[in-house]
Amino acid sequence: MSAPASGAGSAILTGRGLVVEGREAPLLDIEQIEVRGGEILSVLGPNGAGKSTLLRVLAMLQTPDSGSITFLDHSGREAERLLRKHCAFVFQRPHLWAGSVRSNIELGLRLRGQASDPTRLLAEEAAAQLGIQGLMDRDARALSGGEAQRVAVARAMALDPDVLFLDEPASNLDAMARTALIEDLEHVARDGRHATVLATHDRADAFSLADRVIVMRDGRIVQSGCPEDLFENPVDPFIAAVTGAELSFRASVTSSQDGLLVVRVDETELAAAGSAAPGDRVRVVYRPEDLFLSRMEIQGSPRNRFQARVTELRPAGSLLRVRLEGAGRWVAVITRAAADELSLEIDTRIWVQVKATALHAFQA
Amino acid sequence: MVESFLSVRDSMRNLRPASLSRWASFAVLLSILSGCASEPTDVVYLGSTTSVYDTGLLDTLVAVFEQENPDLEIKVLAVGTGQALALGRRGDADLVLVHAPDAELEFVRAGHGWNRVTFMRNDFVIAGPAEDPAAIRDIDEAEAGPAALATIGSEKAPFLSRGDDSGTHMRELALWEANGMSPEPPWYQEAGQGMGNTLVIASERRSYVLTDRATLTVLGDAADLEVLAEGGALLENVYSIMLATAGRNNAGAERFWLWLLGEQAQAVIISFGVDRFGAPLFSTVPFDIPDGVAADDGSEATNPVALAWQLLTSGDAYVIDVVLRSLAISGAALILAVLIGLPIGVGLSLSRFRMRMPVVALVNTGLAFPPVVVGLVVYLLLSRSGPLGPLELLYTPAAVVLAQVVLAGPYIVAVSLAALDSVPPDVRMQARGLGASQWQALLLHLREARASLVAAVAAGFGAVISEVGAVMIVGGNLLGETRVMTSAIVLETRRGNFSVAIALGIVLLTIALAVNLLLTLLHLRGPRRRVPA
Repeated sequence: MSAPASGAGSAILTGRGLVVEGREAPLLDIEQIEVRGGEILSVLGPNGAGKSTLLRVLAMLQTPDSGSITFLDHSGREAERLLRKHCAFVFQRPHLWAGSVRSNIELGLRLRGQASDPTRLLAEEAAAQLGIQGLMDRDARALSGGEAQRVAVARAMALDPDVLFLDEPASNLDAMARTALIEDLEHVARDGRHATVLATHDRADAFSLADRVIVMRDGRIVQSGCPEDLFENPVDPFIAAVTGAELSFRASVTSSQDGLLVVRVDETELAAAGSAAPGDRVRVVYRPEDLFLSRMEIQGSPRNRFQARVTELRPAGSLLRVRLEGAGRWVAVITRAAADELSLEIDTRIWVQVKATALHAFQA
Repeated sequence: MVESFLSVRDSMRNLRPASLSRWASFAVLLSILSGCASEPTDVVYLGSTTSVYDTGLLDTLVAVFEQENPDLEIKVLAVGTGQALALGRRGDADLVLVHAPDAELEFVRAGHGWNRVTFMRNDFVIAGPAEDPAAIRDIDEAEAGPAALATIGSEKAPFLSRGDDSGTHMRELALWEANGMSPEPPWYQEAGQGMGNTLVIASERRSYVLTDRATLTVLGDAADLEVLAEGGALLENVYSIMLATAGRNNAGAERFWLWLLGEQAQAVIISFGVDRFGAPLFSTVPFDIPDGVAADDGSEATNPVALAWQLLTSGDAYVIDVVLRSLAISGAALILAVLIGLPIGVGLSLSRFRMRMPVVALVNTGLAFPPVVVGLVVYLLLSRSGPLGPLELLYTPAAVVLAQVVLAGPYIVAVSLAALDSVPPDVRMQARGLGASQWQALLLHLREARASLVAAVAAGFGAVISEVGAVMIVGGNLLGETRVMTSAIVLETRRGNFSVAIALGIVLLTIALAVNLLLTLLHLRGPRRRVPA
């Protein structure tokens, strides 16, 4: 299929003023969104945030109550016709038609009126990409969840789409199948030939794969940008939470300058990123992996340094969650090996360091 | 029967009270079924021509008799002369009351009956539309019957025959034969129905018809026909009663036979109908009561099943015609029902509108349409005075097709709706996500439901091809036009042609079996079908 005239980086698919009405609140209310050629765009948000609706509206599979879609500089029926031809959509629960795996992978090509020889070849190629060549003659209805999802992705890839929509492709799979599929998806998405729009509620998937991330809540885009942006500068506690800063404490602001605050917790003053006026109450969020623990006081770049006492040690896989008391309550995540080196036990006193930019303060 | 009832009562004594009521109701049911509820009576079965029964005379006679003879119950099997004689031959009737002298004499000569007495008469008339296209009204001959038929035949004016081996039918054939004519379609048609129905059909088709005067009189305005030719010896209609040799209750049969020939019954006959029509419908004829001498039982054992098999294997033209006609009519109805019903089913499955629930409920109600009621409604639509009367479709294959479409349509709609609804709802969107057009997506949706859709079609076919009530009403059972397997089975049974009826029954059962085998196969293979790569 001929690649449309659009360089990577420029918008090939744009949605404007997209609104889908719901019973009480809109299911979707988005001012503008664009998908750029060749990029991987993650749409992240909790269940019910409107991710699937957004993908369907963008793919023109669902008609919004208002708004417009532009694809390759066309809109309306022509955009829809082009989208049918140049996009492929993988659903959360893919429907495999009765018949063999091969007939399912070839389905989209046959719908496009592709001749049978190239169809066969393209299907074989797509199957090889997803590692399911061996399943080609199996009954499509007798596959495991992981296999079925691979067939669905192969079916979409065989079309060599300009835009590939993946709606929670891994959410119905067990942990192992999930990891394997995500790896393959990354491989498939990274070939740079097409743009990928991935909806997911899993931040690891979203951040590890994406060039850009859009975070949604209640049908609206809360923040969008490259993963680092969202990580470093969450606009509110919700974004902070979706980007992994799931821990927080309350504090009061003592001074404020150039986006840097000094906040007080239990008689200790800490530097944090954010904007607020002195005297304001704030909520400070952080990621437990951003705490740095040491036996001795170390002089370094982190602006915050205080002593704390270990109150709990809880294994979490190869990691250890460490609860600490001192300048408030904290949670740190370190490897087991690090814990051994520090010979951490309950009531061990230890130094904690954390960068000011790892603490995000929001108005409470 | 009494013994079985007592044994049930005995077994009831040993039962615990809890289950007693259930057994008691079972016993009541049993006693109703076996006729043990009333005090034991002797039963006599009377095989009768329909004309006498349809007028109501027979009911009146039986009521008077039973009042005086409470120990004897007369059960009337009003089936037409052909079947009445067949019932007598097989011993399923103890007495036979018919009006076909030649067939009766043969019946007695063959030893199937005895004590034949001709005891009652009225007359046949040739009736037809008031406009009288063949102008038989003005024929002035002593033998009006053959003369009128000769004119009708040479004019090729529409004539409707009973075509059911009844006494009236046999008389009609004799009249044609007297003219040396053998009438042929298309102007000559066979209804294959009783006298009353035949008159209604003749009225709709503006045909001439031979009828007994009594039935025409009783029918009144329901048939828009006039008496156009009457009189003469060949239009005499005489009724005879005889005892069946093979009957099971000869003593009871003889009692009723004797009473029917007595003064009281004769008085009832000559006064019957005077109050309603101003003149009697029947009169009596002088007779001698013969001595009770039984003839030899010369009946030869014929096995109707073997004959039926012979008809099938030898490719009997009549059987083949009826079977092919059935398949053609029901096939056409099925195709139409699918063409109409499938889009409606698809539409209902795809759309979500406010009145959807009531519409779906209405369709499901359609599944339970009683075929006879459908037939009646279609009849009223197509009848000359109905809204679609000008199309002149009544008693044509098109009318039967229409009725069958009405019967099969809701079936196709309901089952295709259910079939499509059983496919995951977003299947069309998923197809579109792979580049399918709206139309391709719909086809892919239908493809997922195809097993159930084929099942719906097969079940619909099975339903229409085995239906008889509506077919008889709107089709008229016309030979070579609307006579299909089911209506032919009814007719041939009435004629006493059990072998033909059984042969057709075998074909019908085979078709039903094939349909059900197909359904079972689809049901088994439906969910996890393997398609070769």
